[in-house]
Amino acid sequence: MQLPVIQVDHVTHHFGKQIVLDNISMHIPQGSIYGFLGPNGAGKTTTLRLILGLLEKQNGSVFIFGKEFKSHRIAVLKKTGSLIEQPSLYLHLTAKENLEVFRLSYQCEKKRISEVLSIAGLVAATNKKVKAFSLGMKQRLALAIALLHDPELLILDEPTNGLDPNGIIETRDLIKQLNTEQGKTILVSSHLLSEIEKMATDVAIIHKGKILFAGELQELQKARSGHSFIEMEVDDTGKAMQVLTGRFSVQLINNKLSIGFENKEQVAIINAMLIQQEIKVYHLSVRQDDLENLFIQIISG
Amino acid sequence: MKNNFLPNTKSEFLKTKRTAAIWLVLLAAAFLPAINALILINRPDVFVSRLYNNPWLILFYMIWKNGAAIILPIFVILICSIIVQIEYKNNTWKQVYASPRTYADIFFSKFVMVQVFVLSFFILFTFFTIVSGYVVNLFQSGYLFPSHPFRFKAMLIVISRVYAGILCVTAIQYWLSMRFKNFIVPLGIGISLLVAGLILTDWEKIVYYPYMYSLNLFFVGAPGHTGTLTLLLVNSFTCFIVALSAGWLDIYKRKGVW
Repeated sequence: MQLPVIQVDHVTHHFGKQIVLDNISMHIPQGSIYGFLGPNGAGKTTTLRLILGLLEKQNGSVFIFGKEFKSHRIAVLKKTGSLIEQPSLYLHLTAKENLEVFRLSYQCEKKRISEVLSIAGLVAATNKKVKAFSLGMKQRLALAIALLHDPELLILDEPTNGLDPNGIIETRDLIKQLNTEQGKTILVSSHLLSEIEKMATDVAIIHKGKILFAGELQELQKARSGHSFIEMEVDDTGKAMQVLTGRFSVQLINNKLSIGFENKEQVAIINAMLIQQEIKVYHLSVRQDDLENLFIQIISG
Repeated sequence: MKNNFLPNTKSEFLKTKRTAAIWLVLLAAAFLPAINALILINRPDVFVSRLYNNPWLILFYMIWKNGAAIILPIFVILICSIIVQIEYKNNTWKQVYASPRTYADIFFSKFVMVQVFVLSFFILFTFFTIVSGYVVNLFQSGYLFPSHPFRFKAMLIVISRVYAGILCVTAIQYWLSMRFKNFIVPLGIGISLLVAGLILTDWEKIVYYPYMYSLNLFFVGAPGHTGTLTLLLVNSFTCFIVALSAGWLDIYKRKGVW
């Protein structure tokens, strides 16, 4: 079994008396797009800052590339690109100058500047001052900086924040492309589950400093199937509830039946059971219970 | 670190492009030579005779007296703040600390930039002093600047002493600027300590007061001024090493936590 690229074990963090991370553990597999989900204030940025050594670790351990971060900081950061919170850019410098500032630190070849500008779609803005950039352009330039030294690991904190729908799609496609074509491991945080669902291979859900779920996206989707419902409108709700109770979980909501199911065959069975009992079914629909709903269910305990 | 220090210092230099730092060094270096030129042009009746012998050195002392006392310390207070504020203002500390640079590299490469600007101030200050001498002669031909040689050696001695005296202030102000996000704090502390020093110039312990080292070293040996050259140099260098080490240890202890 391959060693996880990032291994966070039993990390607890306090700001004063307030616990912001409560014994969290995450193992990020090599080659994955690891979606780190949670509402604002859940502890995502704190976790990412701890991973990058931007916060002093209080408890637990953080290993990156199998090395303890604190004692291998430089070696780890040479292979890691990051974008934490809002873009960190020198507004009085041009896009090219911003990249040059970090190129000198990373000691990579000059040609990387034009390469990453091209990847980020900022070639036309090469010599434009960053203070004249839109938020979307700033996000893309920050991503270009993170890619400058061609890192094996990318840590991106809400990279689509503030982007328009087109920008969100472009960033998502870029993340997927970097993962599939260049094999980069990407840890990406977001408060939007729909966003993560479209690109992640693995997911961790954090809420109030606790990891509520960590595993492959497929596992989460399986869990979702156990939390799906159909909504039915029938002529005799009382009789319908008698027929279905015992075999299915049934609730009456706004004079409509809400019935839990695990697979689509069960939907057909429910319908057939009601028809056999001469109950008229006026309306049947699967409630759009996507991961968003599951996310809310998970975080609301 | 050895391999990366020079590129990173170059990167620090690039960050100062289009900032107020460039204008500050030009204005601070030109201010006193310009003021003194105006005085000499307007009062030839007083100054032509005073500058009859050795005009360059006298002009140099006239300008540096206020330079060492006020302009240079204020310049240092401001330049430290401007250079460090580039990171605070742009919210870039986290990106700097998330790049593969040692803490020492981050701390000292920026401090080298402070020294580059301070030395630029000295060079420009001397240049503008010489320019002011020639400009004065254009308007008042009674002055004898063109016919007298520069006293470079004497000037260099004064400049070296004043620089040795200001080193400690650069270390203290750099530390304060790194330590506090709000630029008003280092600015306020620096200006207060400078003003307090100027008020206390006659105090016998002033030789131990860092913000007055540059002025004391400028006046060393002059009648009525306390402190020998050796004592002042020892005090200044000791203070410099202590302040720089304390600043470094304090920032190192924070380990990029901002």
